[in-house]
Amino acid sequence: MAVSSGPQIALTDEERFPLLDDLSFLNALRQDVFAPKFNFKSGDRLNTAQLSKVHFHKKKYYNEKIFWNEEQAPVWVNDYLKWCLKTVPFYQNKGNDLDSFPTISREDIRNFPHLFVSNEANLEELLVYHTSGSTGPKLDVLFDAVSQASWLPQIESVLQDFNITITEGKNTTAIALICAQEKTLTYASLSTYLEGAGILKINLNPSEWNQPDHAVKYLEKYNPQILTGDPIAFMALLDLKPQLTPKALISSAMKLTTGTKNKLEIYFKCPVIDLYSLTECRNIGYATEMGHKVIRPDLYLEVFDEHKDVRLPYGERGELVVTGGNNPFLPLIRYRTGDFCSLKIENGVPFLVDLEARNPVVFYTKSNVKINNIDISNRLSELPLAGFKMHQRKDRGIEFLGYSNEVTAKEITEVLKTIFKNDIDVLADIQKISQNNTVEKTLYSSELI
Amino acid sequence: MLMSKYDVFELVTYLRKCPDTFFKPSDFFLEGGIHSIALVYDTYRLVSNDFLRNEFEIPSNLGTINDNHWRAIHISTWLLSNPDFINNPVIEDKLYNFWFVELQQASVYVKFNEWINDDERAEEMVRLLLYCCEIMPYGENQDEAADKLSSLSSVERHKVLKQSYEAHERIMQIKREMEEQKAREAANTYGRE
Repeated sequence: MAVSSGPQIALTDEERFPLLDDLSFLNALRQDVFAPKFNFKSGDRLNTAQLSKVHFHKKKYYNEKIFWNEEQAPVWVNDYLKWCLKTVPFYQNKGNDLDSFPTISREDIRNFPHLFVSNEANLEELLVYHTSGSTGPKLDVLFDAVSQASWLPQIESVLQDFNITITEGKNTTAIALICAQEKTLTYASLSTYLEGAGILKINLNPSEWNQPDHAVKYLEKYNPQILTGDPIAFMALLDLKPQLTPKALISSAMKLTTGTKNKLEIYFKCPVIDLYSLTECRNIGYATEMGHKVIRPDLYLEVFDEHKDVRLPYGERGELVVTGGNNPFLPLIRYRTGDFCSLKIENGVPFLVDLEARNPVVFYTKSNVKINNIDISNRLSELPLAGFKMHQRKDRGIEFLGYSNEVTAKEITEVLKTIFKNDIDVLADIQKISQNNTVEKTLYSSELI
Repeated sequence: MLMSKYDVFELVTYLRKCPDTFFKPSDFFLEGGIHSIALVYDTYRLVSNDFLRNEFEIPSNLGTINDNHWRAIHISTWLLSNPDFINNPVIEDKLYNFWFVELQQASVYVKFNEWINDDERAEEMVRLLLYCCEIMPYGENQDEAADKLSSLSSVERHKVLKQSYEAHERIMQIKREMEEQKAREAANTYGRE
């Protein structure tokens, strides 16, 4: 038998939704005349004990308003560390207190995922997510149904800041994850935590639908309360001009420029929230004017020197390092995220200032003046670009590829020339956003490093 | 040359000279075997220097002691006949724990003849006896003595091996589960990461 590269449908609906008796809404979502050609099935897998754990996490996310302050790490860190040292093989003999604990990297998780599993974790609850590797080599992330479903209360705590709540119940679609890709897994599902509300993962790619106008008709019919996705997918959706009334759009995985955010907010008439999340620990924070506001009281964040295991003081820029989480299959101690920012605490709540995804890159003008990529991000953020890639060649020429249905290559060239003090050659290209894009997340690269 | 009292090396040398007759089975298992109770009582008398006593502490369930354990006790009585232990009444009430608790646990992992034939096991018996009798080996402090016993202990070694085996088994199990689960549907994804 040929070995398939992707996951296979392997469960019954009873196994997908052990606590839901009425699956009629699920069947309606799956069998609708406008429904896409769903290629997968999925459930939240929550049993009674697991569901109560998700509710327990919800209380924590809602009730804890002071996470920690600059003088003192959160009180739970010591116990968490002791638990990890006692039950997680990877951490044994690595150190006794957080101050002297070494950082770990994505490489460690990629090479030894099995060593991060706590001895207390029930292997019958193990789930595996195989990441696409859009920002690096592929990675197997181990988790359980509780840590996965905790996404919902985490997002509810964000929405609370906007006075938005998700309506529960079996006749409403709570979340639709919108994709605009060549290929991805798509399915209709339900959320036990949201009392049977619908969950959709759909791909706008026309080849996934029976008729070209079905994507819009389907979405309009079920009118999801919350749309999630990346900026490219949202711009592809905007292009279809659907008549939807979402309560919020939640953008993640790629940088959301102010220009794109404004366009989406104007059209959908709701907040567009720029969420920072990692596969390794789920949601961390969302963008505000002060920086990304951290939403997880069960995570302790520090900033480290990029190359040395040296913790940096508050306010100093470096690599974001995470400790904590609620995943017994991947408990993190000082995990280097690969993302860069400085930390600021306001009334006990941490903010990630000037968060930039992955490798910080310095560019140079022809006469060798340094240009920081944060300055480039800030300027480009004003344009309605759904995403972009920028590369500096050895001869200092800049190659720029943007994704937008509005911005022109000429405009980009002008902006970049201004940033580079009119001392640079720019080759700019703009790709129109379609309903099936192939986009890499990597923003900046250079041959001069 | 004057021997240093409780010198581990010298006690090991003494133990390894144990006559073959101590290796014989107990009379609980073989007619004509060693009269185990008499040997234990004689050792009690030797240690306590009280040759008129006829009552010493022994377990009520002697029938449950297995052959290998009895033979380990026999061998240890030879060790206790060393002048270091004779006429040493303070250790009398420590011997019950040594014979019937500690030696019982170690005997699960050590064949009786290894107490003599194997250098490390001989040292283990000597150190175990000194530990039970709360006697510090010559030239060692408490930490050194504890470290050395711990590194020799068959019970500890078995525990470590068992833990290591269990850890290995667990990792193999995780890897198997990972392969299986990777190929199957997981759980709902709600947003991009």
